Amino acid sequence: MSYISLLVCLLVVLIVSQLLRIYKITSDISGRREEDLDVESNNRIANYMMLFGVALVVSFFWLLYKYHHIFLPEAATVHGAKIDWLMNYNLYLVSIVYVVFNLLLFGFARKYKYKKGVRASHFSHSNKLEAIWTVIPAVVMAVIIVAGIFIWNEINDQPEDPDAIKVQLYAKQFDWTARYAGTDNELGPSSFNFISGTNPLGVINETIYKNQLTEVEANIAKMKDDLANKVMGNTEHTELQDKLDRLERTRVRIYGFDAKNDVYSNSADDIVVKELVLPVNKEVDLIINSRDVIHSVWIPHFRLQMNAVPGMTTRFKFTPTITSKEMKAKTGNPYFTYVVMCNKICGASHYNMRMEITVVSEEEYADWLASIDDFSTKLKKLTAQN
Amino acid sequence: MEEQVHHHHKESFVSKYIFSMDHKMISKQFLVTAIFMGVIGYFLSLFFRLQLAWPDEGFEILNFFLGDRWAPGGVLDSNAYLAMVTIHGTIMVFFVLTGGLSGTFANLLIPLQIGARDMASGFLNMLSYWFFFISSVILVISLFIESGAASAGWTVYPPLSALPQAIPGSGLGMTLWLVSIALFIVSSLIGGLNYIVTILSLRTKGMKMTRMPLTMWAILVTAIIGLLSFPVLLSAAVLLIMDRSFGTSFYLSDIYIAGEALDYIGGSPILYEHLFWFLGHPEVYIILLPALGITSEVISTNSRKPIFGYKAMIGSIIAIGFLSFIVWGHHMFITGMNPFLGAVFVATTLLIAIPSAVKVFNYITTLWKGSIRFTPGMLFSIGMVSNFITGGVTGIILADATLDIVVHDTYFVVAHFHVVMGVAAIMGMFAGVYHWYPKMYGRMMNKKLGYVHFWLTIIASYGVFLPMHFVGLAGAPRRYYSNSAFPMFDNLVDLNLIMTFMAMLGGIGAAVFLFNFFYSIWKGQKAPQNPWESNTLEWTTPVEHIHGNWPGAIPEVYRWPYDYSKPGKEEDFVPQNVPLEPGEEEH
Repeated sequence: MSYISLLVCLLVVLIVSQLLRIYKITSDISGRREEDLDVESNNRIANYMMLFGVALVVSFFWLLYKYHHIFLPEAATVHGAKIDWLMNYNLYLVSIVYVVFNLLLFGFARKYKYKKGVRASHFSHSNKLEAIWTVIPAVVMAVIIVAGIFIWNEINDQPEDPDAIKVQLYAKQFDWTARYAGTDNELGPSSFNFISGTNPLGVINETIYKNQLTEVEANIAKMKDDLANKVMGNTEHTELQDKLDRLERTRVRIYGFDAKNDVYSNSADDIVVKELVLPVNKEVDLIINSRDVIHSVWIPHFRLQMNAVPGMTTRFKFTPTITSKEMKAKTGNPYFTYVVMCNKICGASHYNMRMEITVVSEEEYADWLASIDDFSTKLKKLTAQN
Repeated sequence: MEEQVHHHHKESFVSKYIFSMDHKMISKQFLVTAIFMGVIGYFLSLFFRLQLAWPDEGFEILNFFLGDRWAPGGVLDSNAYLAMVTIHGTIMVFFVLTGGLSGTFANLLIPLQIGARDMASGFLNMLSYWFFFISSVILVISLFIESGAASAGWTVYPPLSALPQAIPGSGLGMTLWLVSIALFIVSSLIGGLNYIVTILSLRTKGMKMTRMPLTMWAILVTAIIGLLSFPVLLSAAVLLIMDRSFGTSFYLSDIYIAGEALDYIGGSPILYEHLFWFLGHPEVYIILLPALGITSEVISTNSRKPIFGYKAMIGSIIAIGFLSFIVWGHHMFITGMNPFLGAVFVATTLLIAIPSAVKVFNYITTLWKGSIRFTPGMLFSIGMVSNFITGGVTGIILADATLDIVVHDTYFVVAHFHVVMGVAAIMGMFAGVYHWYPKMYGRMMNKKLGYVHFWLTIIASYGVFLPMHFVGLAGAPRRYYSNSAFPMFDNLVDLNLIMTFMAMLGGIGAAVFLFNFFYSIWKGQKAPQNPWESNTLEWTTPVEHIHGNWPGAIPEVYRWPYDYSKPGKEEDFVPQNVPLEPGEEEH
């Protein structure tokens, strides 16, 4: 199949080159030169130019008419509504500039095509005109800058609301984990040194500290034993030695934490889950972390986007205004869900990082929260199992 | 003044065609290499566009080119998808539109348009090409290694690009990428220095700075921008190499991956982003300015009118060059950067709209009351301005931190930069190729095929990128292998189909160009000395290339390059080397 297509390509090239040869021979006979102006063809192209300019505008409006339904539905947060308002005005401006200037460009190309006996004007500059079209964009830009920065500051400089629900959104390849601060509304401390299969966020408390230290020490002992007694190849040996070195440094870092600390109790009522449930009309303080590479929290319906960067904490405050149930009715889609996606390239399954969000009434939220084991309970259950 | 002219002394094949120090040959070497890289870049994009239009469907052609490792059963592997996206971006941004565009036209035009025998240093010029060549080869080789080419996106943000545990492409593939880019930067710095020195010190008698064609101004400012910003990328790359291979923690901190905690403490990926975009944004103008310069020249010549607002054009080139250094933060609004800093970058970024708008107005006014000849070069120049308008206005949205929250890293951005710096710049490059082909090869390209190429290209490029804005406004993230995890994107299927079909159409257009280009080298009509009746000095050199460019003395310059349709003159053009008549005003 592929060879046949290759053959077809070759054939096309041959045919075109033969056609060109004929073209060249006739050119030579008639004395036609490539650089000569062919008025007829010049006129034709001028018409095509205008046609294309119009087609550009028509296809834009056609796309707008045919595909406006794919745009995001109305914003479901307080700040999102402001962004949408600004976005609409900017889109109007952008569309007008796009239409007017493309039409001018292609229209002038059509209008001022070569005409026999008409000489081009030598008009080469005009300070007045140039001043006008420096000032106009400057004024328009000033308005846009001020409006943009005004809303930007509103989004970023929201006053600390002590009642805001603190939720940590924790990214890793390739999923999200959420941690609610619980009844004390304080997140317990966490560190990547304490991450384990049962503790994906590396939350720290006294028990975990002890367990982690025991586990790391047991692993170190086992690796040392393997290195001394097990038969293995050179590369394998080096790799294991490296791993041992790293683990020993992890141990040093763990020693760096206090074995006991009052703040550890903050994590007792934390709730670790794989979905987000949020009450409507209540401020949420999203605390964003990543444990491996940069990810980005992208919740299109909330108009919310913020990177998750390993080694630092980023935040985004927002207030949902439309419950999932209302949104289902508004979009006419019974399967509608709010969703978190990852919007910073993070690896092979980047496109699969998904977490569902449900926005509910405050009572429903309280019920949901009560139905889930908090961190200490979960830990106790786990210990009991072992 | 002693004139040294080297008439056709015998040269070996190697010194004439391979290790040539003649700027005209080096320019052709750059162009052909860039065309070759461009073809690879196009096919990579076609491969991932197939996956986007028909996710998870098998294509024999993919299996044929990529084999069972990267396209088992003809379905593109998701790691291979990211590698294609990454290498497509790298090739197009650096190798085609930076190396290719600047390398070709700076080398060809600088000595010819300012009236010099050659570049200031022919040897450095040769070195610049060979560094470029070696870095191209290394990048292409990286496509064929077992662990796959670099796949962290063309911006290669760490930690993804630093940790092979995170993605297989960050192993050997990333090492090759870094080596290739380091060599590329060396090439670009050597070239840039040479361009600046030549323009500043080797102008012929009478060639004042304010009598230089706008191409020269654009290339001069481009070279200065490159000289100031590429070293920063080099340092970013060196630090990344240190983190990857020598255990430093410049960009990495608090990482737990593949079942173990890593040692890195105290670094920040944001530092890398700052360093990268300090080059990355000026890079946009390194790409765009030469294209704008070429377009100015071609539009003026073919409208038979002086470029409107010559001094304002120079002013806006300089303003754009300056502003391009203080706007990089607009790539980082949502990285957690201080919001106040974000606000500052909003203001500086939107300022760039002013000189850009001035340029557009001036182009349109240059057409006004002109006498337009639609040569293929002219068509591509108009196409360039159209894309510059269309891509430029969407920049207003992206420059606004508030709105960026909604469109950052969606297809809206992809559409924006493809239109404004991809399509616009490549159209400028095509305009240059059609316009100066007679100068490069002494033959004419076929005009009819040029028209076919133009119409296919402009229809295809708008066909791909106009709908892409809509996909972006639907919230669809870029660099997604498939949208299958998110039913809200199910209704994007037919737009994705349109875009892929249009991408194929664009490929047909490019094939027409390739055919025309190579066919005309041998079979094109022999070019006359000044086919477009242009004023600039390059058209006073003989068609047949000679060392030293002019057989006799270098012509002296008496006027600016835009004396088209000057009242009182019989011809509608007056070349720069024609002395002013008594009583004639210069402008």
